[in-house]
Amino acid sequence: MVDFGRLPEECILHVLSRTSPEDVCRAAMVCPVFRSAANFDFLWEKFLPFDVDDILSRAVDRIEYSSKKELYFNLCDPIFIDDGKMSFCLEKSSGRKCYMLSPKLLRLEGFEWISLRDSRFSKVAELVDGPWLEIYGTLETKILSRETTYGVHLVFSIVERSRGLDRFHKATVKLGGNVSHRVGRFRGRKRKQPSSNGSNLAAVEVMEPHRRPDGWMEIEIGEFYTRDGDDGEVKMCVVDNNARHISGLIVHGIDIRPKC
Amino acid sequence: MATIITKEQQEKEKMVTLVSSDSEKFVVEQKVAEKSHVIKMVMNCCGIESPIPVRRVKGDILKSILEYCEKHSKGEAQEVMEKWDKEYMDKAEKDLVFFHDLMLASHFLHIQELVDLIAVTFAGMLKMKSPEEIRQKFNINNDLTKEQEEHIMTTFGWAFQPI
Repeated sequence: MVDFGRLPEECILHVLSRTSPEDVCRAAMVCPVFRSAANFDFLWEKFLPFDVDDILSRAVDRIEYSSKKELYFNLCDPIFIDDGKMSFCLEKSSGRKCYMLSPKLLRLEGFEWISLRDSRFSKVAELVDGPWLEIYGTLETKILSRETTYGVHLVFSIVERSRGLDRFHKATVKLGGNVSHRVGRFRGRKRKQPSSNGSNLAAVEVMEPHRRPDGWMEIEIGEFYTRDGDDGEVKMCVVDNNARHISGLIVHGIDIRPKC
Repeated sequence: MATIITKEQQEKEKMVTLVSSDSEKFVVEQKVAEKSHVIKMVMNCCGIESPIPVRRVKGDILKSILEYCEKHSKGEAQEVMEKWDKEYMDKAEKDLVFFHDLMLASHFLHIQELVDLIAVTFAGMLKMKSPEEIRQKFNINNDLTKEQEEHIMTTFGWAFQPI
C-alpha cells in the first residue's frame, strides 16, 4: 500500500482547497505534509469571501494580519463595518458570511435610543410605551454568501418592568416571491401555540426565544435562501399591532447567519 | 481507447506515440495528448515524429489517463461528461494505489481538469473524518512532533470538538 503522506505538498494543497475550513483544520493533524499544506495562503484565500477587500475597507478598526489564514480567523470574530452600524463575521466551519444589523439600520416605531455597557452596538433601542410593536429591516442579499439558507434572528433583552411582551407577534421575512411567516413571543411560559379555532395563525411556525452565547436573547423571525447572489433585497418585519400597551423590549439588532 | 494504428494513418491524423516508464507504447491523436500541458510543451519544442517518453508514469496509469484525455477532447455535452467523470472516479477510488498513482501522474503531466476532478473526489473522502481515520484509510504515518501537534491545536483545535 502506498503512503498518501508522501504525496507532494502541491497535490495535498489542491485537495484541501476543495474541502471546507473545518476539514482543513482536522486534516492539518494528519501528518507534516497535510499540516504544511493547511497553512498556505492559497488555501485560505479560497475560503475568504470574494469581496473581502471591500469588507476590510469598510471596517471601523483596521484589521491587522500577516497571512490569509490569520485574516480568516480574525474575521471569525465580529468586526464593525459601515461606521459601526453593522457587524460582520465569518462562520468558522464554512467561511460563509454573517451580518448583524444594528438598531440604527432598522425602522422602529415608538423606540428610544439608549446605551448599554455590554451590547455589541453603541446605541440600542428601547420600546418605551407604545400602543403597538413594529420593527422593519432590509438587507441586500448580494452581500451574503451564495446558495445558503440564512436564519434571521431578532436579538433582544427585556427590562424588569415590561408590558405586553408575552403576547404573540407576527414575523415575516420576504425575499422575492418567497415569504416565511412566523409567530413568536419575547417571553412567556412554554405552552401550546395560540388556539387554532378560526385563527389564521394555525399554519405558521411558533418560535420561542433562546439565550445566545453573548448573554442576550434571540428569536428566529424567519429564513431565506440565497441563490446566485442576485436575489434582491430581503425584507424583515416583526409586528404586533393589536396590543394596547407594550413596553420594555430592548432591540440589540438583527443577526443574519447561515443555518446549519 | 488508445489504439495502435498504422504509420500511414498516424501521418494523416497527426498521431503521436507516448511511451510509459515500463516501455508500453500508446499512439494517440495530437489533440488528445495536448490535454497534458507538459506533453504539449514537449510536442511544441520537439515535434511529434519521434516517440515521447513519459518516464514517471507506468503503462496502466498512462492508459487510463489517455482514456480520460480522449473522452475530454471530443467536446460532448456537459451532462454526458459529468456522468462519465463520475463513473471514471468511482472506478478509480476503489483501488487506492491506482488512485494515488493517477493523482501523481495527473499533477506531473499537468492535466488541470483531471487534477481538479481527483481533488474533489479526494476532498469528499476527507469530509468529517478525524485525523486518525484519514491516516488509516490512506496509510499515512503520523510524523508530527509533539510541539507541532500542540501548535496545530492552538489554531485549529476548535475543529476537533464533537460534531
